[in-house]
Amino acid sequence: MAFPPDQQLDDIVTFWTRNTREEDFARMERRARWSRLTWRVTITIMEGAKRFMDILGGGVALLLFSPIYAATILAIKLEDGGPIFYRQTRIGQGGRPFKMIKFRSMVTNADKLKDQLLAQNQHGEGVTFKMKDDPRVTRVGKFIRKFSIDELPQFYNVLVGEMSIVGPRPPVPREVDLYQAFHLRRLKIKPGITCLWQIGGRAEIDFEGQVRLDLQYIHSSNVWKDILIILKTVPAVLFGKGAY
Amino acid sequence: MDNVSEQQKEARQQQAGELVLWCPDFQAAEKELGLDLPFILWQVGDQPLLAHWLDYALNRGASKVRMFTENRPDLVRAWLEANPLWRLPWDVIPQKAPEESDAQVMDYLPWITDPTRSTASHPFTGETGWELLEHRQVLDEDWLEHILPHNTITEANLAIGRGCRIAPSAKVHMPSWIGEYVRIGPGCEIGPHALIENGCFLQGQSRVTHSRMAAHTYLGTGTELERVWLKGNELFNLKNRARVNLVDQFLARDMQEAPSREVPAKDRLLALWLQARIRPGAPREKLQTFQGQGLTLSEGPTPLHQRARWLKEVVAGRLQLFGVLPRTEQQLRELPEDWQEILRQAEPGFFSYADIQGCHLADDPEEALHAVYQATQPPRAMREILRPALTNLPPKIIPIS
Repeated sequence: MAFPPDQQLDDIVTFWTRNTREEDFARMERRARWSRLTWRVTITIMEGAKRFMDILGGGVALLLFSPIYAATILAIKLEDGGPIFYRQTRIGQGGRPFKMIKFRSMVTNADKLKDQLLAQNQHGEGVTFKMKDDPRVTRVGKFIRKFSIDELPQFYNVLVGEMSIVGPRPPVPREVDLYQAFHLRRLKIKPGITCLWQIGGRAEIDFEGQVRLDLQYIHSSNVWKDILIILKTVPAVLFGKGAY
Repeated sequence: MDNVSEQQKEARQQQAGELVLWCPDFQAAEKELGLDLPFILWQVGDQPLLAHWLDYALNRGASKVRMFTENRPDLVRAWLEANPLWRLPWDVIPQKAPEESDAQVMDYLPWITDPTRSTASHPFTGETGWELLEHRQVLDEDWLEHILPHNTITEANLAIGRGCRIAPSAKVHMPSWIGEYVRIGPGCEIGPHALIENGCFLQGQSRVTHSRMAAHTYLGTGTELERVWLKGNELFNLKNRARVNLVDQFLARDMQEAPSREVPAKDRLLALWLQARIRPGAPREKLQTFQGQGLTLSEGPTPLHQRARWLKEVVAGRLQLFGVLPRTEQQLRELPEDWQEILRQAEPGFFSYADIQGCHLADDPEEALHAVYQATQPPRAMREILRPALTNLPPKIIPIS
């Protein structure tokens, strides 16, 4: 380059009057080509790192938690003999619906009972539904929910690329129907198993607080921050803070 | 942002009801500048203009949106199908003649009596491409003034996306918007009113004011953009109404790779298999008309035999296996102008949708109709129809050698 990149140049015209020889153009072209290539590689690495971490983390988690899976499957089957998994339609990245897998923690006709319990929603008349001592939760369900074991099958959704390990929790379609345009921004990235509000107070945070934390994550996410959130999720899950 | 209950939403829906969007035809103006998208899909701020309008409809609590579209409704419909973020029922209603569409739209808008009322108060008519660009510039600047939600700091109208690298000696003036993964080199001066889309690279010592840089654009050292739209190495200067088609590569360049036009490996293998089965030397033999596997072929020598030599092009990766039938420039010019435009952008291939409809020659007027239909459909959906038809061709069509 004709001048060092850290050198401040007051006048663009001065620069071009100094660098109008053919060999300068050739040098600039070489430099431009190299810069374009390195930046494109950088972007690919930055965008690919999250997916790589998801595949690695999802695979390891499925293997690591296999004894817990086995014990939970046995417990659910022994309790009421109903289905082990619960597949719920959730809204993913860009508003596309997908089936999220969970261990069943409620009675088999939970969705029908929900309408009768809407008046007791802890989030008031808001977008989301959450209540303490929900009568639909089974005994095994109460335990697996406290330690978030019911969420573990979602590592499968992570492996197939519908979800990420860290990202805003995927909402149900009924919630999204009540969204305003501003809330839709949380659907800009892939949904995840854990996020900022999971480690910051979980179900005690209201919907607006969740959106605020989700957007904070979306605007500042990177691989190191993701690792930090995963590490902070472990004590939040073990102490069952805010989960019921 | 207020928390909205279901009852509140219902009340708002009753009040707002159906919302109507009228998308006028600016195609002539868009063509003038060689721009390939209808104005409604142009990027304004951080998303297409249509997305802003859907945001508005959602906030108003609309129960349905109707879009009267004069300009390429198929593209608007395809965009809406690919972007299901707004869970609003929508309807794209194609309109042709402006006079007729005015009347139909007015039926839906009984409270507006004068369709030219909005243009009377605003100089924008969209007659030329430059007017469209200038109007977009006005919309961009208006959007920049309101980047942040109303309940946050209003003095700081600046947004910087994630993964950006900005040199310490660079200056950013508000209001400006910088997308994701943008690199701004030393000594750069950005803003006011600068929009730099995702993945841009500014080498250094550049000034960007009242301008927009399209995604993945490289900007070389010692450059100044003022009232400019830089789109790869294509530059639109709004100040002088001048367009530069090929800027030198060290000044500006599109960093995004062209969309992959590679022939999938499984298509190449299928072409190899077909090559072994189709005898190029048998095009003159007569075949009876028959129906089978959704395939209707007319009597006479089958053109698939005549095309057999194209298969080696597919195997070599130079021609798609599934695509519209290739045609000569002369054949293309005989078609209506809008068909020509669609077919020019369509990928040609060995086996087409027209083939399964019984039209095998580019001279056949019905073949062109099927080709246009194929070109406007999602390629994946077309593959799903065409692949089984090609793999299950009856032995009469492909005499086993």
